[in-house]
Amino acid sequence: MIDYLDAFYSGLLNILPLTDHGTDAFIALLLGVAIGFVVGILPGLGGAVTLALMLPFTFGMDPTQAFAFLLGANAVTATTGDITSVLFGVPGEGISAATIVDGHPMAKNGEAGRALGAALMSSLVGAIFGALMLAIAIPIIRPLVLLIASPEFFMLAILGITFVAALSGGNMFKGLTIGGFGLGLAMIGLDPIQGIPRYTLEPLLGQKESLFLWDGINFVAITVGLFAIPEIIDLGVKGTGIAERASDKLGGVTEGVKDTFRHWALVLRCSALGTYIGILPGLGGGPAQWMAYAHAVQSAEDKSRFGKGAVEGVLGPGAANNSKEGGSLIPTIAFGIPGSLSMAVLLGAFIIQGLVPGPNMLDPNLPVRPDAAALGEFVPTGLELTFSFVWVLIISNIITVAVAFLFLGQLARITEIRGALIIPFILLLVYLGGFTVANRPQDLALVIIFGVLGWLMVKYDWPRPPMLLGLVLGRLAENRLFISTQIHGDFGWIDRPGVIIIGVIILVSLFFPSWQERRQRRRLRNADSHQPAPGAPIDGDF
Amino acid sequence: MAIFNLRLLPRLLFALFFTGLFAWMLWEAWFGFGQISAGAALFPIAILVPAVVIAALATVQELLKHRNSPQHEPTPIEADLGAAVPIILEPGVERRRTLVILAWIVGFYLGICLVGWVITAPLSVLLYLKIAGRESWVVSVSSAILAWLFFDGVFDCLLKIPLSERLTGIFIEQLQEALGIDVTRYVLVPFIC
Repeated sequence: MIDYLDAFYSGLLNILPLTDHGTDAFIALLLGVAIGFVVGILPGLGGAVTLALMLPFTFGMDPTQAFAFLLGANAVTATTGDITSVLFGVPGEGISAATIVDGHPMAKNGEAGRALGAALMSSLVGAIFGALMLAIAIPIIRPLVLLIASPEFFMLAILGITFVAALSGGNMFKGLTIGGFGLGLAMIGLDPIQGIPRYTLEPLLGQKESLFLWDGINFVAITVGLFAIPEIIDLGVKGTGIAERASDKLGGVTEGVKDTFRHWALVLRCSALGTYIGILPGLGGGPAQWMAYAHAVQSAEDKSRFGKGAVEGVLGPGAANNSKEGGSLIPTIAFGIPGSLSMAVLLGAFIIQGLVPGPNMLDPNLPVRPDAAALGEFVPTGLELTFSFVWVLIISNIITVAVAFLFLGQLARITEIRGALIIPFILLLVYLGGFTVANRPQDLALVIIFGVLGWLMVKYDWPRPPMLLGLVLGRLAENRLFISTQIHGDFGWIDRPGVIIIGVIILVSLFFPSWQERRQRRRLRNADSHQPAPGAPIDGDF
Repeated sequence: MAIFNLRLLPRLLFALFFTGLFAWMLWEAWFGFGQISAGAALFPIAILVPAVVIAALATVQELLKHRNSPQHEPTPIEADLGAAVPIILEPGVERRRTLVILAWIVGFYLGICLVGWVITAPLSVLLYLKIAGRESWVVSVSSAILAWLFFDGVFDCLLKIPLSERLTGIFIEQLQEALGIDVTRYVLVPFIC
């Protein structure tokens, strides 16, 4: 227990400006928060896209700085996204869309300040709740992780892809195909066991040009292409400015803050809901905010106020879309299964930093990178680094909310930036991001190829997250499969209890959603057959 | 009898692309590098056998799902995660705007390949804002200068990312050979460093 408390305290010290390395990490955190702040306010650019764009800049950083920078940026996008949702009725983030339903009518009713006060304060409470849940989960989850060996880790990687594939996009076959495509991309390059070149396209590109594929495909170039290029196309096609209306004068912010504490039970329940949904891989912030909104409506006495400017409709989603960050970090750190798309991109940062999610991240004594520690560099233990994530979530949200309260009026003006003004800058940043990882001109071509592929995937309703997950987990899964077959024989590892249990969960996660859909369709059919005749009054009209 | 809608052909081809790709990858694993090392082919075969089947099923599903659709509905432009508000546009307008923005994306890339990063960064911002954004000269030129200072000044000069060195551009390389001086590294970049 002392180890945990010690690591919890060290995790805080490592990101505060009290030591040299703490100062560096704190500056990285502030920089990340500033970027996340602006991105959150600008509609169209999500937290995951921001993380993808920022990944290349973490190469020169140590693990604490890198995660302070990335988590700081990611943690605040949902918070500031609520500002745009309330003021303009346009979600700053996909995960802050539910705030519009009651937040924007409040703004129209002249209660913009109250709505913003409620959204920001509930976001802060939610973020702290989620971070504390992460801290509490660590000692509980560690013994569980230590029971897991290579065969189970291989199965967990497949489970992660299956979860995300089955749950994203609503089409399981498409999701699994894309997950397989991601795993296929991870196979490109020299095989990790004997160094045999695989899929390096030598006959097509020639011997010299195909050499750049020997190191494997550039994860960052693919990520920025896949996610940022479709966003740029989207911005260009819409052809609109960021916001179509100018913001009104704000007032009543304190009242909104008080509302958060008046409805404290609702805020805590929605925070718990958000954390729980965050833990479930593949669901992300979208369902969290809507389930929290549904809970706010369902638990209210007067349901007729919702949709017209009920403050509870702002408090619920505000708390949930922030608390899910802490929740989604739990499976990401412990098992390498990302709880959301942002976490999938964050797994890329683990690779860049040379870290492996799992037991090492929860070890109170072992440096997270023993090689760097041996060279005398400052390296935190796995547990210290994990606890620093908790503190980053808390501190970045406190800073964000404080700044937002100070500059609320001026912040609203950012949304008036024309889309055309930011497109060339984002495009250059995308190419720069793809290039900086390996300084290879060929990676720019990868950005375009995967950008167009990502756009086609959006156009033809193919989910993108499973591909990223396959790409990130591919090498890890291959190593674990190889170790498993070497230790237990070709198929000897399949009858291990852990493997069987995870296999059953994979099957359930594959078939449960389609079974559920079929059941829902049958229910709808039954309801249709009992529908009243045209003109008859409809009961239960919400 | 239902007639196959030709407008759905791209969707079907897109689904078929994955099936074909997996089949080729499996062939390579089995009869290509798999012949050199069974260990190198273990993971690809374990993953690609089910992947081919699943991709084929996804293709069949795509075919059956859209076979009887009367026409292709305009697609809401929305990202699957992190999406903003879905906006429905007329297919013609959407197609034209998409082609324009795609041309700009490729144009930026070609610019980098031909005249290098140092020139492309400010020039592309200027051209985009003036032509596509229809901004004033003041806004366009000041943004171009900002882009030059930010991308070349911060990343090339301060962060030492070798943009001018590695992304020189074909034309500039030839010009440098002809003139015998390093145009970007010693002329353009030091100007702001």
